Amino acid sequence: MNFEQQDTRDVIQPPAPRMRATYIRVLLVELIVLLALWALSRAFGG
Amino acid sequence: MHSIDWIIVAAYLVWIVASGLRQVKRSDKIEGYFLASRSMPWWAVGLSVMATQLSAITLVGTTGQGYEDGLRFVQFYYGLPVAMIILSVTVVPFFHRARVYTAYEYLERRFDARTRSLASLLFLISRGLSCGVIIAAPAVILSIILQWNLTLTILAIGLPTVLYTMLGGVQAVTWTDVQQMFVIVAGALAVGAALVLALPEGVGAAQALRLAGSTGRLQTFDFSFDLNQTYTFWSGMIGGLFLMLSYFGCDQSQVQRYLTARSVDEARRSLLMSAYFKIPLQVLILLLGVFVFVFYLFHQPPMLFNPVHEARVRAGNQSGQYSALEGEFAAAFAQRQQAARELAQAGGAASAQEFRAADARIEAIRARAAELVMNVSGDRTYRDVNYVFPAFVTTQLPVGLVGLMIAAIFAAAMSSIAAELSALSTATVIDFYRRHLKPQAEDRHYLFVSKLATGFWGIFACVVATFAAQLGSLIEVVNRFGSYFYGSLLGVFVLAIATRASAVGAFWGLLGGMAAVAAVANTTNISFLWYNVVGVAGVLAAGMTVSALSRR
Repeated sequence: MNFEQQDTRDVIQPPAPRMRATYIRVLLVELIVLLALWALSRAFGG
Repeated sequence: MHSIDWIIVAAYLVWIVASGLRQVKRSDKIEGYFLASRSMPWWAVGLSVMATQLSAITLVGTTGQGYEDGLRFVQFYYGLPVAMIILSVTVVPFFHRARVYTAYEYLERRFDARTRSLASLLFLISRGLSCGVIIAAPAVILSIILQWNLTLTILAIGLPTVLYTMLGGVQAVTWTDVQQMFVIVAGALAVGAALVLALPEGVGAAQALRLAGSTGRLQTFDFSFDLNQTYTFWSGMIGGLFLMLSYFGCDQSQVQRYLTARSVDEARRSLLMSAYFKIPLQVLILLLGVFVFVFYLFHQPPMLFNPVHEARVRAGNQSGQYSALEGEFAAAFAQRQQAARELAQAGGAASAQEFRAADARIEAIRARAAELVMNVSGDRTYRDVNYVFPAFVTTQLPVGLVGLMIAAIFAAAMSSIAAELSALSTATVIDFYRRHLKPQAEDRHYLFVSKLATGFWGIFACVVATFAAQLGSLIEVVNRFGSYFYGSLLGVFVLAIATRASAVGAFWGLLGGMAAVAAVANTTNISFLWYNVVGVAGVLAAGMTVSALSRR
């Protein structure tokens, strides 16, 4: 790998479809966790 | 402590050192010693990543945070899953393909040796000192709560860790981290169960949550955009994102974790494990603190949780005032207990208001007691929040569970220290010794020097811990230095990966970034979580400018 002449595209490659699905899953799980925390605070006051 | 608890703690220490020493045979070359010959399974690396980040300061301080402030602190981690995704797309495959030993090795290939050496040196200084703080913080707390000798406590935490890390290398670090995560989670779950079981008749988990919720302790979203506030949704999503990118992407103690993975895919999966589990784990730890708060609604807590400070006030000329405050505290506790029972049983806005008022009275009395401590000790920053959980564990839990939780605190400290020692040794040998002093030696020689370097940093950390324990302000100095450095280091990697900045630009950019953070820190009240953003911006601005000027 020629680091001096490197193009950003050498480093940051678009994720493959399988990995894209994994990343979406990660974000969905985070969203679910955050929603659960929000529901917890709504349900028990404060 | 009961003898059974001592046996549990001793058994844990023997078990974990033996586990670490079993890895000695697999670490007979430096690629095995530093990178486990790039052979670790993703789940072991993932657990090691989580254990490295979960220090005893986190375990003790976060539970105290939960007791005092509830779940708000979890916002700090909201940016973490996004950070893990960004790193999985960028540096993880890149570092793996580059076959580097350290993150800073890449900086020389991209820029020059000067930039690499500066970045690695800053890492060594900040991590070397923070390793001492990671030992000191739980050692001080345990020595006070359990009345252990401070130096022996520091050595009890530091020496076993140095031993298995020095001899077993990163394989010992990783496999002991895996086991220590189980100890920590088992301890946390066991204490959680004990807290729920300790709730009085007529107060279940739901009522306990309602009591906590009525004081705002279950709030997990603060959307105010106040840069002076540390724990808000925005500081977590943005400031926390940059902090996590820097910590997991540019700090050798974490980068080295996923460099040991078998493949790029396994390295990614190891980081994504944190993305899934870190926030729920933090909620669990914070909830322990919340339930300790509920526990102490029905069992009178000490007015101050640090017994040493309490003893100093009692022995001083303000002991009369302190005794009077204790009388007020007992009466206020009884009122709060009654209000808590009414709220738990009947509910309603009026009960909640009465309970909150009673809780506020208790807090006001504690604040006055803390003021007496400040007058006696001269320490205007006094807070006893870090002593709440250890005090609860050692005075309220049954025999056996005390030992398990003390072992968990040891596990949390040792897992972090081991990873840092391994990273410090790697950076010392690869970035300095092999790079500048002895570039053409045999693998056997480097292995020997690596073990010496690990031992050196371990002893250094124990010595720093001894000083840090006595100079509380040193902890703050170390943390501040780290916060100046992290964002700037991330900025250098952004310059390296995403721009065509020159070596001169990168070097001066790194210094410029740190100067920008120092200026912001000393002239504003902006929360430290934003320093990483400032550091990145400073490095990019200075680095790109110098690069452009140097090309003319």
